[in-house]
This record gives sequence, C-alpha cells and structure tokens, in this order.
Amino acid sequence: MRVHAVRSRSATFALALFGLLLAVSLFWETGRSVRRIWWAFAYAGETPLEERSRMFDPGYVQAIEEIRRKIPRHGVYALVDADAAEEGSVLWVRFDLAPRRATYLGFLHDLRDSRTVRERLIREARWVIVASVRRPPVLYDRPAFLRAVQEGRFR
Amino acid sequence: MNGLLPSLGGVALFVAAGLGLAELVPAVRTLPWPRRLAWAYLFGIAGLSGSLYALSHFFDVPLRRPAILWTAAALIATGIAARAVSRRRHRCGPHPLGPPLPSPPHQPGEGEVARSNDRRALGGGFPLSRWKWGRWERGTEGVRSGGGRLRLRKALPWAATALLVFICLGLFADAVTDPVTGWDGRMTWSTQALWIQDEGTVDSEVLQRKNLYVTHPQYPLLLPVAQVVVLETFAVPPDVHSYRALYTTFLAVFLLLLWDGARRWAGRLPALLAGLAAAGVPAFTFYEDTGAASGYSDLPLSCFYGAGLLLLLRSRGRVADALGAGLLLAGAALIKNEGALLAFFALGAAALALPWKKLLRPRQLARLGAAVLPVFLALALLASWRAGIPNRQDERYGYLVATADVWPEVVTRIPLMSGLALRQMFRFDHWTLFWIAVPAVFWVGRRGWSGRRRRLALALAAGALAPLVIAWGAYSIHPHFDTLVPVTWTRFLVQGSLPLFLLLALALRDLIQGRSDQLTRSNRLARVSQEKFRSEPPRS
Repeated sequence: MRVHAVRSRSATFALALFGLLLAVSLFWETGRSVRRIWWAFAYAGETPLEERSRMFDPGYVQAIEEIRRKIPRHGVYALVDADAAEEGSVLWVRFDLAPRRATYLGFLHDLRDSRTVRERLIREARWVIVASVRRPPVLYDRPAFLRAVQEGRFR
Repeated sequence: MNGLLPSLGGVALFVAAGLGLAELVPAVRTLPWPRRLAWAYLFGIAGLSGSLYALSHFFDVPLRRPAILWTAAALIATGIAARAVSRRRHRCGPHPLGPPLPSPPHQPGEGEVARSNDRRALGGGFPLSRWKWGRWERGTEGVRSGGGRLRLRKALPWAATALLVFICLGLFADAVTDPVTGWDGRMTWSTQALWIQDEGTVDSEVLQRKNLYVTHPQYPLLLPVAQVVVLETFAVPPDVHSYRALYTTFLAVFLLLLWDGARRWAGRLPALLAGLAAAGVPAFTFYEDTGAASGYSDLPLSCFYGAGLLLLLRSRGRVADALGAGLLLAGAALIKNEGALLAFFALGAAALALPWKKLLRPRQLARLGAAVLPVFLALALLASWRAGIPNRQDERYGYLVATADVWPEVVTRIPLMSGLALRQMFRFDHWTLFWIAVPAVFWVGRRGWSGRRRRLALALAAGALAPLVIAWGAYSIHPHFDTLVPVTWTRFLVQGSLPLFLLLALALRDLIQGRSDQLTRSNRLARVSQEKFRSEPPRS
C-alpha cells in the first residue's frame, strides 16, 4: 500500500512536471508560430531584394547586388576575411554570390605583402572581395587589391 | 511571402513520388492517409533525390526538369503498377460470390498496445481514467457522471492536433517569408545546391577543383539534390528560397512518424503527449542551428534514421518492409556523414528487439539482407562520387580516426565533455524545460519499458543512444572538442530523437496507467469504507 502511495505521488509529480514543460514550451512555440504567420501576411508581396534587406543589413544586400552585377555567373573571385577571427563573413558572402566560384586568400591581417597575395591568388580570380561581419563586402579588381596591399592600405 | 506555390509544389512532388514507392511497402500502404503521406515524403526524398544523384553521377543525366519529371513519373508509375497487381491478386483470391472470409482476431505484436478486449478496471475520478490501454473507453457511465467532462476529453485530442498543425503552419510561414538564415544551410547545403544546379551535375567542377573554396565538399548531397529538384522543376530563381519548405516539412513528418509508432506501442494519449512535447522543443522547430526552420540536416537525418528503425521494429515478417526500411536508411547515409554509421546502428538496434533464436532464422536473415542492400548501394554511390572530390575545409575524421590516440582521451575527456553537454541541454532556447521534466518521467515511468515491451524499449534505447555514441567517439579524437561540443551536441540529440520520444511515450503510458490504477484503488477503498460506515450502527 505504502509503495503504491509513494509511486502515485511520484507519478503525480512527474506528470505535473511534464505538464509544466508542455505549458511553457507550447506557449513559447505557439507564440513564435503566431508571429511567423503574421509576418507571412504582413510581408506578402515583397520582392526577394526587399526581403533580404529586411532580414539583413540593407548596405550588405546592396553591396551583394552590385557585386553580382560585376562578377559574371561563372566568374571566379577571391575572398578575404577582414575580421580578426573567424566569424563566418566569407561564408555568407560566398552563399549570396553562388554559383560564382570562390577561392580563399585568408585573413586580411595575414596578407602583409603583395608577394604573399600573388602566391595565393589563382590566375582565374579577377576579383577580390574583402568581407567582414561589421561592414558590407568590398569588391576590388585584382590589380587594385594588389596595389592596396602593396601600399599598406589595409594595415 | 516568396514562392508559396513552388514551396507547396516541391513538397507535393516528393510526396507523389513517395506514394509510388510506398505502394511497394505493405506496412505503409495500409496506413491511414496522414501517416502514409509522412512516410511517402521520406520515400519520395530518398527515391527521387537518390535516383537523380545516382543517375547524374553514373550516367551523366543532367539535373534538369525533364530528368526530374521522368524519374518522378517512373516512381509514381511503379506505385500504380504495384497497386494494380495487388488489386488483381486480391480479386483472384476468394471467389467474389463466396462468403466473406472471417477476419482473423487481432494479435498484438510484441510490445503493441492491446485492444479494447483488454478490460482492466479503471476508476472514474481522475480526468484521464477512462483512457485504457491506449484507447479511450467508450461507455455511457461517463455521460451520466459528467457529459461535459467527456466532451472535453473528446475535444482535447482535437485541440492538441490543431495546435500541432498550427506550429507546423508557423514553420511553413517562416519558410516562405524569410531567406535561409541558419549557419549550415548557408555554409554547406544550400550553397552546394546552387553549384550543382548551375552545372546540372552532382560531379560539379566546383567540388572537384582543389583550389576552389568549398566547405565540406565530400558531404553527401541528397538534400542539395532535393533542393535542385524544387528549383529546377518550378523554375524559381535561387533568391526565392522555395526549397526551405522541404526542411520545415520534416517537423510534420517527424510528428506523424512519432504518432504512428507511439500510438501502436503506447496508445493515443501518450502518443499525443509525446508529440506535443516534441513540437514544444525549439531544437526541433525554430531554433536556427538545428530546427526545421534552419536548413540544417539533423532533423531530416533524424526522420530517416528513426523511420528506418521504426519500420524494422514494426513489421518483423516481410522482406518488402525491410527493403523499405533499407531505402530509408540509405537516405540517412546520403544525408550526412554520420548517417552511414547510424544506418548500421539501426540494423543492430532492430536486431536487439528479436530473440537470438528468431534472429538466425532464414526469414529474418533475408530481411536483414533486404534492409542492408540499399544501404550498401548508397555507400557505393557515395564512395564512387567522393573518389573524384579532394577533401578540404573539413574536420577530416577519417584521418583523425587513423592517427589520433583514442586512449585515454575516450575516458579522461568525459567529465569536461559531460559538463559542456549538460550546459547545452539546459539551455532554454534549445530545449526549454525538456531535460528537467523528461528524466523525471523516464525514472518514474520506467516500468513502461519492462514486461512485453522490454525488447522494444531496449531497441529504442539503443537507437536513441547511437548518435551520442558517435558524438562521444568524435569528441574523443577531435583536437578541439571543447569548441565542438557546444555546436554539435544538440544536433546529435536531435538525430536520435525519434526513438527517444517513443521511449517517452512508453514511460508516459506507464505513468498515466499507474496513476489511474492508484486512483481506482483509492476510490474503491473509499467506497468500501463508506459502505462500512453506512452499515455500522451508530454508536450511542
């Protein structure tokens, strides 16, 4: 009898805890769903450009659009990470520019002289994009980037 | 709202192709429609994308609309032919004018919930007390004792289902409103999809050229090919992201698979409660580093792996079902690297559900062979495709396995590893209170895993733990495991979540059952003492 009572109490406790889990998590998720459905109606009819400008920094989206116009669909470009540590800026730029083909030059702070850049830069890459999570990506022609490195403008 | 029709069309295309394949799997073709559609979606992704993957690699078939539509049509035609053959066979069976054959009495399988003929008395005080062995008891007593409560009990499952549908709709709304934001979606899967769509082949030059910047170029391409199917079939520009709906649909699929398995083994109410718990976990829904809204492959992998295991456990006699399970496990192997390992774990876990003597019977061995065959074919495709791709920007686990010293790290890293893992599990934005409430339910309801369900529970536990074993292995050899655990642990938990939630349903069943039994007992005691009190003469 005593065992049954203990078991019943623990079952009630476990069920109550489970009920709390359902109440909290479903409230949270339902709220998110309401918001998403509301947004779907509120932003219906947006163009992809407007949509991306809403989600990301408009300056970033504008820069990507300009780069897309300059680099042809099958063009090859080189990516440079301008952040101090890996924060993923180059990955986001690469996705937004796909199917254009990227090569990776490394961190900007590692590219101290134009010789290092020339060694890493493949011949096909006619453009260099400097990406950062803090500012929109900047497009350079190959000679302009080499010149900028040589002149130490990135230091 | 961008690409609403292509988003719906993409899902419908995979479901249509999958319905064709589902006709070949007896355990699936007899299911009610919502559940059959969920299975069909998985068969569709595995069948259509897998076929296109193989056709593109081995026969240079371009990944363009004609090839996609012809392949889908072939899968649908296969289903139509299978249905026609089965109908003809059915027609040729008993004489049409003869007496109808008596239907055999239902024999619940091992661990399956017994039907309404299992009459265990339950009390009437507890709101859930009319729930009996997986069914709501039908009777007039409830109406007499409280019609309103009965109506509420009838309305609750509908309300819960409506809530689940609403959450799935919220995810779909997210898919058609916002671009891909999840890390892996942008870094790996969607970028690869754009490259292979551009070249029309899975042997893309971008993947094959060593000097081009590709992250995880050797990751299997089943889901990127599925994305290409949507983009090509409906001729949508990449910015329209209509492929996102493919990922968000996986939550609905997950919930229906869970309902399918949990309803069979634990009953309706525990199945529904487990489904609600799953839909409330952000790691499955809106969390942008694993959820259905994220574009990560962990929830799809969880569906394929879990469904393969579920099908193996559900139907233990038919080779065709085992072949279907093998197709799903092959899909798992083509979704992520760890999917190949999980496919074999699923086969091992399913074997745990059978006694050794049964396991070595020729029929079971034939089933095992049927389940393994598609997995081996998928691995052969993967090996052949990878042979032309130089690996870079990757963890290189193959190299680490060959060179790293596993001992003693496999043990010494456990304390730090566990601390980091627990920190992830108690993060509210990943799991809310899941890992606070569920261990208590597991502990108190552990009797639900014993008796007839012992082997089933053992197989499910092995299935749920398999991704964690892989994680443990990866963390033991990785040079920077302390940075790896925070970004991958939740994902490994998600991968093994279908068997985990089935275990939860079994534990909940025991809890509800035990609670009802206890209340029955106390009601009976109260009644007896009341009668005793009435019959005793008043003391003067």
